[in-house]
Amino acid sequence: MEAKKCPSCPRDLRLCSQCGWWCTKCTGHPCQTIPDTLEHEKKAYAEGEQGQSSTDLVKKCPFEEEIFGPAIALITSGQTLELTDIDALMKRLASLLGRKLTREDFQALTTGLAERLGVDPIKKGIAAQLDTKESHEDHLKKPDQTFTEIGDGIVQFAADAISICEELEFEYGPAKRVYFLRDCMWPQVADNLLCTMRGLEPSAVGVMISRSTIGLEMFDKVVNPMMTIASSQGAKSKSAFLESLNEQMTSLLASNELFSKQCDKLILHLIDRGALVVHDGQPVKQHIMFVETGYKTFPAFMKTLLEIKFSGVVHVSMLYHTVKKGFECLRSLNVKKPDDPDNDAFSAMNDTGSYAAFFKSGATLTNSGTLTNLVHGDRKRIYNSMLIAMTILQAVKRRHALFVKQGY
Amino acid sequence: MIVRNRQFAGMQSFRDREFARNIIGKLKAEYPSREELADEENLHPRVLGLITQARGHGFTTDRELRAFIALDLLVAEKWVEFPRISEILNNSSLDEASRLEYVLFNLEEEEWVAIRQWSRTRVLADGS
Repeated sequence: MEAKKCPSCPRDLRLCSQCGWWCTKCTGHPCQTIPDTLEHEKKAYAEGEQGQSSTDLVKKCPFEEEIFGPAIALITSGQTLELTDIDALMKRLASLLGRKLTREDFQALTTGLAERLGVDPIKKGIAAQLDTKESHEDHLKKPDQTFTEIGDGIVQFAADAISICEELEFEYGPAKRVYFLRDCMWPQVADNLLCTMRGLEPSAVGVMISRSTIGLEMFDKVVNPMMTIASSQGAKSKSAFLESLNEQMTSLLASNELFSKQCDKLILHLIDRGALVVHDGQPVKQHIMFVETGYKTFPAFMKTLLEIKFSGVVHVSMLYHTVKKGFECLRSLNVKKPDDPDNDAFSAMNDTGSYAAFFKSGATLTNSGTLTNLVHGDRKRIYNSMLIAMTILQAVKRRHALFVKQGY
Repeated sequence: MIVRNRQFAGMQSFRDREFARNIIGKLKAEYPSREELADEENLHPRVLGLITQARGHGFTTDRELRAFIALDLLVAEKWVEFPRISEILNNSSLDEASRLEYVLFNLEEEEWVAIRQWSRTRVLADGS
């Protein structure tokens, strides 16, 4: 009889009349070993936690609290921080942890920072939820402001949004400010921080409604022409523009099933993000303000949609800003030129998930948990994201001091 | 703000490697004498492959992945390819978790012996 090798060890196998080939020295007789292993695995399965998944990326990083605590303490300490200080911050964090910072740490720092500053991080699946693909249609615009000026501009914009809402409160009730992500992420942060510092509940929310989430084809073939017609018909006044939009959209909702379906998805997205409050599936009486650092397209689109769908129940205000010194660079998210050194800050501003950027360069983690191959650009990008957050925090503090001084 | 697909894949691969290390550690602690778990060099990539394979069958939770991996490493290599198992795992009238539960709890001991025997013959044939 020809000898065969055991699949688990180099030993020869023998032929068993009951169960085929087996190896006495390695795994024992399979007829006897199967039940033991199998029973153990059945028990492990039965006792295992249902629904738990360690590989689920949406789960929070286990190091978040450990890392983020010291980081936020340093950020809020009030000292003026420069880019080089961020290096020191990283070193300090590593020293506090007693080890080198890992990929997980960077992930926790950036997403944790956004969460603590009042931004509900966008998780994967929103584009999928809307049946569209995310694209990067924005073009790079180089800002000529310092970080401080940008921070001040962003905070001023958020303060304007709060102020307008407060003025409208008497007429329409308190408004929920809804910021269009990604561009308006930092104004949303500033809004929530300003509210927190004034002892108010931070309630600004971010929604991912853009050309991409509406659908590029839908946007180009339906929304854009509608806006062009409304702009020409309503050139003289804002109300004429909105009236034209309302007429066109009412007609489209009745005649274009695809458009209507996509609009329903956008409304569901608003509900999902907490921007539109519903009770028993129906919106309650409420006031929403859409805030956009770009053009009026999206605020006007959403205002019209909600006022058609929930006429008399949902009142919608808008605040948009085409270009103003301080936040025009928010529109920039250039992923096509990752090697451009001037690109880092702009990407970082829009990209709370900038930790993700560092995977692009092939950064790796050794078995001992040390991060290697992290190139300078990636590190700078992550740092910049944090620097923007810090700058905004400091601008908020200055603004808050002004509020106090003015007896707000 | 948006994590691009390629970046997500990078993070997923990191999580998978970590999960593979953990599962190997647990199995080694529970089955210290099993030599199937001794080959460090080949075991890790094999477990990573099994994680991908398990996901392909719709298994995502820790306990499903562990059961899938342990069955392949310790009970019968390539068990999923056994015709009876394959039939169960492709049964669209059951959800994914129920399919695995059916395999674990409804197959008779004799069936597992047959699977084991089939597996050994298959592995030897593939290796020859």
